[in-house]
Amino acid sequence: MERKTEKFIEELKRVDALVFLVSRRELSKKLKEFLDDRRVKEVYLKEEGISFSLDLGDIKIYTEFKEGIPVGITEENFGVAYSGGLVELAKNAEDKLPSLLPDIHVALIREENIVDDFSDVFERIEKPLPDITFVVGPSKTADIEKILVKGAHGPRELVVFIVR
Amino acid sequence: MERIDFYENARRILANPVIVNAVQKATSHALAKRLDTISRIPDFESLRDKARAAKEEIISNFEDFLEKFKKNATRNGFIVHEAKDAKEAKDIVYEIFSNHNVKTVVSSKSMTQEEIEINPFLESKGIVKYETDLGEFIIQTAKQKPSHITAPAIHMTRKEIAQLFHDKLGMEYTEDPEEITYFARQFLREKYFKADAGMSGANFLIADTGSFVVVENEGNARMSTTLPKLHVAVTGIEKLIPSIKDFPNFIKILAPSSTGQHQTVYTNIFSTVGRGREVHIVLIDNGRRKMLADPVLREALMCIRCGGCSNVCPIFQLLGGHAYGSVYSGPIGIIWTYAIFGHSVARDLPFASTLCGACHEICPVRINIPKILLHLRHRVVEKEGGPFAERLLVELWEKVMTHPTVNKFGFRIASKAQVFFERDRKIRCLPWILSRWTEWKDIDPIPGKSFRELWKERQKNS
Repeated sequence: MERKTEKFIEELKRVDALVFLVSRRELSKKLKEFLDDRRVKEVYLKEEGISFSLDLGDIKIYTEFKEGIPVGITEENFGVAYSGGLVELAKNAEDKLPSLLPDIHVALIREENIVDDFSDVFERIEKPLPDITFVVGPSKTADIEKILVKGAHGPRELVVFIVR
Repeated sequence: MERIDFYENARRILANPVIVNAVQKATSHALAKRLDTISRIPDFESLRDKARAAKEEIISNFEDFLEKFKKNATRNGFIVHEAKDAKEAKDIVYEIFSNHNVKTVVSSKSMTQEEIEINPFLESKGIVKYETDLGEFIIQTAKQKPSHITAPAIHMTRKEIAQLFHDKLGMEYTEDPEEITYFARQFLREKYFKADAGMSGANFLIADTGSFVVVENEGNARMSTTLPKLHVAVTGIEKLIPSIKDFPNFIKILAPSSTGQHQTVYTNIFSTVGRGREVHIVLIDNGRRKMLADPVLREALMCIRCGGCSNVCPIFQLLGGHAYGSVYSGPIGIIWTYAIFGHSVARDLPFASTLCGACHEICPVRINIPKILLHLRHRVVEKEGGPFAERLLVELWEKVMTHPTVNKFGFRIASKAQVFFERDRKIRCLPWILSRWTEWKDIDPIPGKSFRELWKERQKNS
């Protein structure tokens, strides 16, 4: 495995992300397995943001959010090995919602899009800049007596599929 | 604003062991985490130097960078406003909201909004604004002020919060932090979807791309800035950094210095408006240009609001933020309060420091806070003449120390007289004007023999 992929995974695990390393061929199968395992019947995603052809069988795909959909799926534009950060580029505000509104955020990322550091990201993004969000782990707070609670306003869980 | 009575605030807080305990726990927790995190960042010291250099560039060429930011932000489609003071800023925000017929607002945490006291203002205009950061939401519900720059509700216990939410919001009583958090999450979810506008502050303004940055952990800033169609960011003009190339240096030092995290969960860089939306940036001066023109105070403009100096300050560790009586607390907060709210409001505050230097050591951009505090003390004494007791004491001291005979007998008398005030080998309580001195500290008694006597004996014996 490449050094930066290793580091990326190490940092992701540090921030309590669940990580799967899969081949392109087995992505749909492994993703479906995960969703079935969690008894997920509905997912929320923006098709134009995902470059993989996903076959999720009987799982219903929504492109508009509706309260109660447990999983949002996104494809990340970059991964930052330094921090285990997922980088999402968005031209419109609604593109940011699948990684924000549902309880579980499933992030897909191509291994070749993992870079070492922040500066590599900014070098690769064309100008004029879109909105950029770095996501490092699930949403959290420690505002009550410094006790860590996951899922403050955003997802309670972050699941990352690295596709090679 | 009225004069802040630091001593009275301190007395009140010290009488409440709950606050003292909570603050100590929270600050030591953040410091321990910081040490652990920076041990994983081998170039941390050089990152601090680079960030400092970038801020120095801003300070030495401020108006040019501000112009550049405004030009680029406007090109990005943001509507940029400038406000010279708090009143103007509030009027601008209100005008935007009136034009859009805004009735409810969701907002992420912003100290600048606290600084201009926008909440009571909007309330008076009939606009409901929900603070969505959990800590801010708690203190808003409790009608209190933040007690820490990044952890606004650290002074409250879970019991108090449980009772508060139960009484004010109808939560089923529970002391489980997770359940309380989920209650707030549910309560605010609905507000994001219904709100007419979202507000935020900004951690950074990037001059060469016209972008602004908001960092957070909870996702509430993401919600507040994506769900409503209107986004108003209110921010101080000092948040500038020259280039997106500098940004990695800042983002790598901010969270470790603040909460001790390696990174915050979300870093939101806004550079575009997007379909069907409107984004306003309100740039606030409110005393900042005056700081820039002041050779002593200008260094404080480099502050990136991490709160690290609060965590490490022995005074803050004991009292928490409320003692400072201002939105900006802790060592750097003293400087900001003095600069923004003025001498007559903040004249006690520069003395709320031991000048131990820990804040200078921890500051990610190496602001020499103790040096500035010492300068401010000088200003206060120049203006106010210093307390009578202190002047008397210093003059007495000068006499005693410059006249050998007075010195010899003075100390001999004092060492005899002190037995009336000595307890357990400490002097704990002196009479009359000297009581101001012993009210806050115990002093060592004068030893039976002076140095000169000991020296003489030593010479004789050898």
